[in-house]
Amino acid sequence: MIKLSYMLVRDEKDETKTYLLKDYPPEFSNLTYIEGPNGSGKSAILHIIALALYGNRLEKDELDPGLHKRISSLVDDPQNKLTFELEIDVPENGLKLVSRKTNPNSKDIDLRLIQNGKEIPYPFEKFKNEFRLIYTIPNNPTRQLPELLLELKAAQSETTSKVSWFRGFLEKKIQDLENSRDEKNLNSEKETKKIAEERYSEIDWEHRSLSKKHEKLRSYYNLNGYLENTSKVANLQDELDKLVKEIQIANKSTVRKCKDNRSSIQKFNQIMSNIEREKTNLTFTLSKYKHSNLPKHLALINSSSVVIEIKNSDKQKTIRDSLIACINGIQSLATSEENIHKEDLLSLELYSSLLRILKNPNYSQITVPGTNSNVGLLMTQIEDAIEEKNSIQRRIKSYDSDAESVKKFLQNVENAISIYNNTDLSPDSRGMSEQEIQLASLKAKETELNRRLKLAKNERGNFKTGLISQKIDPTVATIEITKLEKAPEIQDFIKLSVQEQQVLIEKNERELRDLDSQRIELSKFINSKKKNIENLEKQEFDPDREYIADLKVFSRHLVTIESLFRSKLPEALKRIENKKMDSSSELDIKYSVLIGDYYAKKMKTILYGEKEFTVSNVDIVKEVIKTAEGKEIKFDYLGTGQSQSSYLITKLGMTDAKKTIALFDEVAMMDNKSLKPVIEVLKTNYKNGKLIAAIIVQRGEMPKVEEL
Amino acid sequence: MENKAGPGRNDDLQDLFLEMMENQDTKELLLMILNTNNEQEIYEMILQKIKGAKND
Repeated sequence: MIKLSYMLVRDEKDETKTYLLKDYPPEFSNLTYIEGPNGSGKSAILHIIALALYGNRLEKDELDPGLHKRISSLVDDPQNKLTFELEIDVPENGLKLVSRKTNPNSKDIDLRLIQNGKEIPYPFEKFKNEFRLIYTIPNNPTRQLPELLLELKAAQSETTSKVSWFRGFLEKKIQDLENSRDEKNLNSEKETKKIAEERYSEIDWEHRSLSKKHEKLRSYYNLNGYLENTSKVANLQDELDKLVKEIQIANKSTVRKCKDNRSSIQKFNQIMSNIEREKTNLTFTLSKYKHSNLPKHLALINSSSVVIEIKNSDKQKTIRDSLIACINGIQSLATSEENIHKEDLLSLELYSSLLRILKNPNYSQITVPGTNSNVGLLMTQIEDAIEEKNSIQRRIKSYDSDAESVKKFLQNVENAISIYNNTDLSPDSRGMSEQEIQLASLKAKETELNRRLKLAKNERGNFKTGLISQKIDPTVATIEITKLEKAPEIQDFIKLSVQEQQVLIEKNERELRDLDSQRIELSKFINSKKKNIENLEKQEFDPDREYIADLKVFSRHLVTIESLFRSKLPEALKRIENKKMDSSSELDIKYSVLIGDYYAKKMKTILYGEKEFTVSNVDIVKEVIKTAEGKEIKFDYLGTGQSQSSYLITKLGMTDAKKTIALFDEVAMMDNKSLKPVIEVLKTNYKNGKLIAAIIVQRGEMPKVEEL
Repeated sequence: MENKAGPGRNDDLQDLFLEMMENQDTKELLLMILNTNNEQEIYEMILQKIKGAKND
């Protein structure tokens, strides 16, 4: 039995109208056929029942968008104030659904299930899990395809979740098993550790043995080196002491002998630095003499090198000869001038005396006898005559002075030649005397000896440090080496040269380092094995451990299955749905055939023409229904009533255990013949408990309610 | 994992999916997952299958 009461108050702006269930009874059978004219409220019954069963919360793929909008507006539109109470009582199943909306201003719908006297609140998710609300206006099956495929998509998604969930579980199990105690691994680790420990003992023994021998060799090497260098230091020190004394003596005599020579060198250098400048001045002086052969000698002086003449005084005399010729020439010129101007020069004294007399002021106005001129004029004439005589005298004196300059230069050249010939100025001596060279040689020897002494001391210091590091007292080195020389291990070592001993010691040190690093690595390895063994022994033993590899095979299967359901099948379904199936893809072909079979099972039969056919497959892509009788019926060929019939039967063909409430509105195109199989399916489903209520609404002239 | 093979179970759809499996092993595995109540049970069934195969 279905009981329904409602009140809808609608603000229509010009008036507020109240709608109630008035043309139809408030109670009707679980399987009901309603007929009535437009506006009688027959569709309102279905709207309110659908709303009462959460129809407004269905997805757009699950409910026709037009219907969804209409039933949602009953609670969402503020103009509508709705209250209702719905009861669907199914005594055969022992259950009753009660849905109420008591507050006209609230959107809340209170749905409850009463079963065996227990009232249980049924929120949307719970209701959807156990019940199926089918509310539809039948259409062509092709247009309903997305709705029909929705179920498939949901199942794909649900399967993906299940597989993924279990895969996570299995991987965790495998991980736990991998972390469980591995007896085989444990034994292997123990065996590896044992081998490593044995190897460690071998290397350790080898290291200790070599280390002991190496210490003795090193002791001998250090003692021997220390003693040898001690002796070397003493010998070098003696040699150095003697040399220092020798240097002191040589130093004194060299200083004295070199003093004179240095003075000569300084003097020579002084003359040499002046001589060229003097030569230039001299040539300037001589250039005024143009008579006789003086210009020729001057040219010879100019063209000759003073330095060469000094250094080769025996072979080269050009400058000196020319200088002598010049002296003679100038002196001859002076003598000649003196002879020529002898009278003039003698009268000079007379003129001078006369001038002194005439300068007396008393004679200034006297007229000179025999002339018309006075004394003043005579004095001027005398002064001119005196000046003329003085000029001659100065010229003769300048000849003498020039001759003296030439003589002086000649003397300088002669001095330079003398110094050069008597002083060792050769470039090989580098300006040093033989004594100085000898002293320098002694000092170089001293430097070398000092260097060798320092080296020997350093060596001795190194060996001493080596001995101290070995805790051997260097002061008793002689005693220690005597004792050591008897040790059999070093007999061969003693025979080697010091360099060979050093090479051997370095080789031993490398070997010891190598052995030591091997010991460290092995020790680390053994410790890691110990830890592994400890950890393995702490782990619980799991007998299923031996199946890890097999379980991993299952895990890989799960990956394949999950991938199929997560992406491959949904993508194939999308292509099939959009009729863009990949005809070369086996997956697409197989899936589309299986989906066709699946829908065929849901459709069961269709009416075509006057006959009923058993559906064997539906080709969704080609929109063809294949029947068991071998007929192929295109969707387009189906009459509208037949299409609706097929569609409704398909919708009712769900094989799961959900209980269905079916509301079919406006089955206008269906006549009794096409409606009959739908009603048959509804009755069958009701009888076997899969359907709890069904209402079919059809347009009619008068309101009418019938039990199906 | 809650078993949803109760009220919502759809054998035809399940058969469809099983048919899409590439071999018998994956088919059996999917069948176990879709029809068994919890993971531990599925795991034990797999172990039994492995042990059985080893004994054979």
